[in-house]
Amino acid sequence: MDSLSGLFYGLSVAMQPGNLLYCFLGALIGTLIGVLPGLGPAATMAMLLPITFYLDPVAAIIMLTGIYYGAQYGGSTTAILINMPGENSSVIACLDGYQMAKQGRAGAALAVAALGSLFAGICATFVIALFAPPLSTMVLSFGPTEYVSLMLLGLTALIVLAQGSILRALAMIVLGLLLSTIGTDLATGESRLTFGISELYDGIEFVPIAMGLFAITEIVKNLESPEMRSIVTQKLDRLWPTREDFRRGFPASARGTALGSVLGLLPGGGSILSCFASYALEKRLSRHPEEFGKGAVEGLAGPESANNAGAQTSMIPLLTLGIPSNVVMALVAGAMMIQGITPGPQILTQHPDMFWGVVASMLIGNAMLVVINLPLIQLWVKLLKIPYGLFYPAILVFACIGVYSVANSTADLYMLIVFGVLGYLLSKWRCEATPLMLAFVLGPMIEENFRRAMQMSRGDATVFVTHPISAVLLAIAVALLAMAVLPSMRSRRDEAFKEG
Amino acid sequence: MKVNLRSGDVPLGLLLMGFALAAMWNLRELEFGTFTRMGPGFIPLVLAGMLLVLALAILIKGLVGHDEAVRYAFKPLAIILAGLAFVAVALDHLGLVICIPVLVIIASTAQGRVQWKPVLALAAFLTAFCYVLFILALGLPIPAFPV
Repeated sequence: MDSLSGLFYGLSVAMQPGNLLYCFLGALIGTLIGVLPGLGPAATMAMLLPITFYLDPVAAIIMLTGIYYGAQYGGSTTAILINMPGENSSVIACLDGYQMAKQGRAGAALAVAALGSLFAGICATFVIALFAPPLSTMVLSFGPTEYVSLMLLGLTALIVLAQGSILRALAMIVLGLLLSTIGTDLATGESRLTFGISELYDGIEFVPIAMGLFAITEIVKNLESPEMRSIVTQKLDRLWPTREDFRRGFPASARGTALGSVLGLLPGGGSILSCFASYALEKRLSRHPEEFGKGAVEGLAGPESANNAGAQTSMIPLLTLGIPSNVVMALVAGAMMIQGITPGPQILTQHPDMFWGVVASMLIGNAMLVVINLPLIQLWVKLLKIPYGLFYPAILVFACIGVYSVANSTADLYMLIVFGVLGYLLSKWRCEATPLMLAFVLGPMIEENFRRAMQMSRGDATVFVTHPISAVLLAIAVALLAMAVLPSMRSRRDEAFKEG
Repeated sequence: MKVNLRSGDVPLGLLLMGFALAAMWNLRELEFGTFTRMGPGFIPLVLAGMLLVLALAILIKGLVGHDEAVRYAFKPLAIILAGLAFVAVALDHLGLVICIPVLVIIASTAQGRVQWKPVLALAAFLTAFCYVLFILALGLPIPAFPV
């Protein structure tokens, strides 16, 4: 099936009433959590994961992806109106978006963000439709050797892209890999690292770790530094950008889309990295760099497009390689596995309705999001008046129900507590949870493929450099690592993360 | 050289070292195997060794470096965890209709000054909402009432 007929087929799947409903629900929930600071897409999806078991597989994945890109729209609303990012990826929208709002152009800023996101969303959908099918055909020929090298490349990219200390990122990855080996070894049936606790024989569940490291940690950190919420409510009479805004915003939006589409593919990339990089690019290209931070349209349109494009193209590694590139995609992978679908190149041939349905639903979802966001903006702003004190107990309740429902066992609730403590301490010690989480997900795949590769080569470890594809992947990994360690690149990397 | 014990590196290094040593001790009797036929202990032991080296590096960096001291807020953490611990212990016996309001009330005290009226209203609303959505509508096998 070529890309165009695939997309049409996908539209016919996504237009089925049930799928349309879940697409809308995903977009709505995404906007909601995007607007509300303190609850991110990863935690939300972790809570909803057990429920997706009761849904049709296609509908479940359509809803979950909708939450992710929907959150990118909602996050910028809060950033523009009250100078507080609803999502991490909206930090950049605070810079110029809030300045525009202060100059009385809040409506224009919101419209620029929404239209930029819509444009990026549509383009990114076509990027997936064009590039994912040939990529999965190529990946189908990968053996265990290539897979190991590919995953090592992925982990290396995580280290390079992680903020802060490389040593800590590496330690988090090794810890994540080690945690993933807990439980019964599939090859021999021996139990490993269980310390005699029978609940650990099946290994640690993904949901309690994700909830502990992200949701619980986030709540405690919010409680220790209460934020002041001052809503600058002003009349939003004019919701349409000027011609000048279009002239300056559109090229920025197009560049942001292109940049985001590429960066979204990188492990640990996705939406956050994309918008930082786009802001830096726009500032460099602009003839008026002094306007940045004071309400430059380019500084809003570019990053807003980039984060939405990045959010969507981060689906590509999951759909073609079976490798989640960020925590949100790891949750989507988890949802697929609950439904009995293994993420990877075979999705395209074995479940074309899921592949094309999900891709096409992004077109519909993005269109819905503009409608959900712009006319209903006043409603979302009202939601911000709910004090955090009433908000976090509700998150805890849903977290408990979600964690318990994974295996209908209170053992996972104890696990939630353990990882809540660990997550809080790690965040205090400036360690990122994302490398740990992704390593935990990739761990079993790496071990299985590594052992198989070594068995096939009769213990000859040189296969990783004598197989051409594997050698190329490893060479890229080494180059990335060298770049991160070299002092000149290091300072530039830190600079890129600092402000853009 | 001044030894810096309050930076994050020292406790992080010690914790990771503890994890690595515990893992190595647990794995000591598992078959290590060879490169061709790896035993169940091969990969975890290699990883634990790597973790030990990294933990040592972080620890040394912390001892000689001059990082800022870390400030912890253990009170909200302890209260939130106490609420979760109650649910973990009681859910199978007391069910959702008891656990949800208790969790909401315990967790609310983590914010210092509590306004009880909205908190109690939230507890009642969440209990009803979760009962209707998860038990009645979705039919999740969660204990609902005390047994």
